[in-house]
Amino acid sequence: MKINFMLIDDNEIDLFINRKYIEKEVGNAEVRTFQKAKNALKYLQCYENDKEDHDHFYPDIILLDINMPEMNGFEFLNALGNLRDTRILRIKTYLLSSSSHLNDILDAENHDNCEGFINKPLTGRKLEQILDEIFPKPKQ
Amino acid sequence: MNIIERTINGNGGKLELKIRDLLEENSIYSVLNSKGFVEYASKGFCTLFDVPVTDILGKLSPLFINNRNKGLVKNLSTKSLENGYKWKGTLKVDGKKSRKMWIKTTIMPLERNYDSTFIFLTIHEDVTKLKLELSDFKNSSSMHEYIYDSVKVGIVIVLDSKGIVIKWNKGAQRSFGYTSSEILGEPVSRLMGGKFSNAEFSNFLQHIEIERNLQNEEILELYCTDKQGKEFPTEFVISKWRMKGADYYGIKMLDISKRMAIQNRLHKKTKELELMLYRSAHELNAPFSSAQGLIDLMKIEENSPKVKELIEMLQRTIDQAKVLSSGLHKSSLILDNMSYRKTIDFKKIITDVLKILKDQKVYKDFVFNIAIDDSVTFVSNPNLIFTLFNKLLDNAVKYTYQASSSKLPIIDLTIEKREGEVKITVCDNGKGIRKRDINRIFEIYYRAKVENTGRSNGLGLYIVSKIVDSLNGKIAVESKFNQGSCFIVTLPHIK
Repeated sequence: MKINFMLIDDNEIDLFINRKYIEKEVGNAEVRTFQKAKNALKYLQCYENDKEDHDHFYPDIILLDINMPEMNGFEFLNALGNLRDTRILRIKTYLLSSSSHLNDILDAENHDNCEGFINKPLTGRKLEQILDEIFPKPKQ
Repeated sequence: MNIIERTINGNGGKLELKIRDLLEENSIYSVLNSKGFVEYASKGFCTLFDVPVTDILGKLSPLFINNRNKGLVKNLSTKSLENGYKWKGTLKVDGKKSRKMWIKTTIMPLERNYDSTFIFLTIHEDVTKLKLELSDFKNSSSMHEYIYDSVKVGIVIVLDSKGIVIKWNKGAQRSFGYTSSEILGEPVSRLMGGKFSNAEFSNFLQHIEIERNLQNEEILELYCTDKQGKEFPTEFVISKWRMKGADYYGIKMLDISKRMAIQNRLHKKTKELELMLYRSAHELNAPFSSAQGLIDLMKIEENSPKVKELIEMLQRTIDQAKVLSSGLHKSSLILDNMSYRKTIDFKKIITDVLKILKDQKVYKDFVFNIAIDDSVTFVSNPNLIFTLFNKLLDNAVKYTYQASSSKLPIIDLTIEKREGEVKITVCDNGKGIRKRDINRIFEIYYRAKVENTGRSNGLGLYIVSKIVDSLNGKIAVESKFNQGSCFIVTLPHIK
């Protein structure tokens, strides 16, 4: 099964690290990276408007940095919540941050459109846990 | 014959004499001629003036000595009293050792049959004590009046039972900018600001009472509005008294604009500093975690032993840097969390938490046993404590078995007082924790693999441990797999 990832982070190096781990952990993955949350949002809004000019990349998982200039992770989440396309409603979004500020964690956890909070840097084990959560292994 | 006469006569005249003696001693009266000279004086009269009767008979009555009450003597001689029948009044006279006395006096003219001249019966009551008390009262109340009026700094306002301003002082006038005539007779709500501006007086009193109970403080802070419509903060005390069957309210206030301005500035500066600390800590953290991510990746790659050694050294450097930045970060967290504190009402917090939890279906069949030691007083950040209980109880509920006829899920929560700390225990009879998991349950994003548990995000217990950390507390867990778990949190009092 192919898994599509959308990575949103203003830090290029973090995007690189995250992409590397995904490539290592997930056999069949497609990764799209965005350095600006606004651009990522525009991309997703294309479904909504049913424009045919996008390239049929539907993310299964979004890894979203919290602290970004212009539009931060929470602002992106709120905007995402306004989109009603079923393909968007299916997306599992995780917030990433190098801060473990309690308020950030609580906000992330309580946010309707957010599956959870990941403390940076991403590691193979953390990624594995997300995948286990989204795609539970069938019971033996 | 009436009863008294019969009684007196029946005693052979002895009782009659005794009664007369008693009357003599205890009543104060005299008989004067038209010049004010004494023709007769009762024993009581002589005692009052402390003179033997022989010293005053035929002489000017002590009522008129030292030129006192000259007008009255004139009345006696000019026969104006004869026509007025009776004179009543209080005379100021010189008594023992020239001490002033006030004598309530009734003078009745009596016509003598044989020469048609008038004599005067004077009946007295000593009211000196009463008079002195009254003047004392007058002195002190005029002093209060003076203090009240002259105080220019404080605001004093007196209201009637309906909240109408009936009195105010110079300080009030100065602070509000109204003249007395503009404000007397007006409802006090005209002077109030914020939520009380133009409020019903009964509402106002009710709110004050609530505030007072909430803050457990007699002195409240309140906004007022001056004539220009400008609001200013005051410190405020209200008192109530009853006088002649009516209620009155006294309001004492102090304009604290200056103090508040300084306080606000200080508060803002502190916030700025805290924010700066938090931001710098965060900014530092970001590149370190990126570097850590790169090192992690490098470790996975095929590396020569030389490069491996270099990676290890880089790892140690990054570790040191992370210790620094996390220390900075933690202290900014504590600042942030600790800045707001109050006495924790455990009962209320737990009731609120359960209310939220019980809205969710899964909690319906649970038995909660809650025991809180009433003597516990604990000051902390209420939001943190709320979240702590929320997560602890949520966790306990998540890992229990479904209710069945043989086993009800039970959660015991106790709060006990300990030397210098509070001990919180949350126990469940649920699924328990496996040995291999127990050391990792507080890690962020760690989820033990337990069957039939709902959605878990691996954050609940991490948040619990984070809060306990920031409150300088400790958390321990005891658990038997398939039997249940106990979480024991101890939180020290803030020094």
